Amino acid sequence: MMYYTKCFSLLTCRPIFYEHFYYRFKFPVNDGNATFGGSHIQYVDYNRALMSEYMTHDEPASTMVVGAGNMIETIINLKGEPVGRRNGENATTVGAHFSNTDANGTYAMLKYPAETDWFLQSLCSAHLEQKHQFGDGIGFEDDLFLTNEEWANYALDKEFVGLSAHALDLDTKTLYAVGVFTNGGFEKIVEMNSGHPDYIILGVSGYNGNFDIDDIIPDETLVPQNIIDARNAEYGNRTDGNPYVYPKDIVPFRLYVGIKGKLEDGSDASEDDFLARNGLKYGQLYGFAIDMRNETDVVGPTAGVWRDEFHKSATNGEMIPGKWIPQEWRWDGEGTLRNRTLEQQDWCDRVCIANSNGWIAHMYVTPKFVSSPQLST
Amino acid sequence: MKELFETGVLSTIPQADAILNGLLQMASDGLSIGSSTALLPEANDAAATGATIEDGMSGDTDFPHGKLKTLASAGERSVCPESPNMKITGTPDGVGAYLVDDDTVRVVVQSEGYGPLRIES
Repeated sequence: MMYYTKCFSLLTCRPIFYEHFYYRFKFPVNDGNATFGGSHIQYVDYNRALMSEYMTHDEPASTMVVGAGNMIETIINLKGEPVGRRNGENATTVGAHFSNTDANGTYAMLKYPAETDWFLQSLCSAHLEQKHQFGDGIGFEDDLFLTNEEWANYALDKEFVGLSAHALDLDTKTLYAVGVFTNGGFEKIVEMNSGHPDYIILGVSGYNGNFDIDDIIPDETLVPQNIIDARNAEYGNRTDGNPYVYPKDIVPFRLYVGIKGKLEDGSDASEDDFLARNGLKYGQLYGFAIDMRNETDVVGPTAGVWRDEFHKSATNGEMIPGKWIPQEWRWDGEGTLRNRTLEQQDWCDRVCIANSNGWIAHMYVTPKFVSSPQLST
Repeated sequence: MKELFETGVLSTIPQADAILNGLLQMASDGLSIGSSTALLPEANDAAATGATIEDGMSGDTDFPHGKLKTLASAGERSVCPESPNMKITGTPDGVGAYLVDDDTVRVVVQSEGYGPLRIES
């Protein structure tokens, strides 16, 4: 059993834990053409025979360590380009790390890194997926580590692409930015059993558009209003006639259904296209929707109560009837770099979607979850 | 280093001397990956129970679902030839494991770091 502790406390941590916060630690990628800071993905190799006996004695794990290193040697951005050096404060027209920039490659974060070109922001709750883990031909076509950036602070006077998911090819140590889930930031993305060799299904949980800033002005939260205004100016109001609002976590639990071997436009991809052969270039997001009406003649299953409030008094295992509704937005590659993470609101308005706290107010993110290959049939 | 921490934020933290000694130990020889045996997780929160805590030691280890042992800790350094002195970064948030070959288990772990947005690492 593997277990990790997400511990921010100093009280029960060794002094080394405190120390690690205070040195800067960059890692090169793409043959040294760019440097990254922020979140890392690392590996430790253990002797298998010694590990099998590890819980039977009191010796430390160091006695069975046989290797260690970085798991990221190459990073590919949302355009499919190797990430390169940042062009200072000007646009990086080729090889930008789009989680840090606008759609033109201009750096957009609230602060610049001290020693690196870019940084991976708050990689959160990854999941390692094994090839065909649900049966012969069913599931991903490669072993991969699926992770996601979580939240960010952007400069309030700049536009930005947002935060994508990332798929790490464990064989080549290549980290691919994945845009099919939107660029809203996430808590956790986990593969589920599609039951079919041509499709993959992933559960998508957690954040959306968690981009406000609360540590500049005491007791005041700053929201990226400029990007909301830009979205309304370019695309107009939502289909209900109301303008888009700050989207933080106004999103239901989602499922992504991807088709293997397809490019963004649905055409056939070459077999050496890692994201395409794993169904991560062409697919559809769905959100769980229920009837939220609470009217004289029509009452939905929660009588109009939103998810967070409903769960305060729900019984364990309680069922709520609903449907999975497709989101109109779909990743098309470069074109959707400018979607500004707000599309979910239109999706939410067209149907009664199972958000945490309504269509215009956020509450809690959808939680982490796991998928058990043994129980999925 | 000692002067820096005596005049800085560390001086305001309980057990600052123990933390400083740990830093000095790290500066001299470090702890190799997997050498720490103390656990970060607690079976119960010492802040809530009032249990006596000791720097560098495990807290309550009476876990309901069995024994835990440490595989690696943030801050430990590699003594492996392919990555000399590389530190395991924190805070860990996401882990997986697979067989590299018949004799080797590879544990992959990512850190939740924030670049320049918060304490840069």
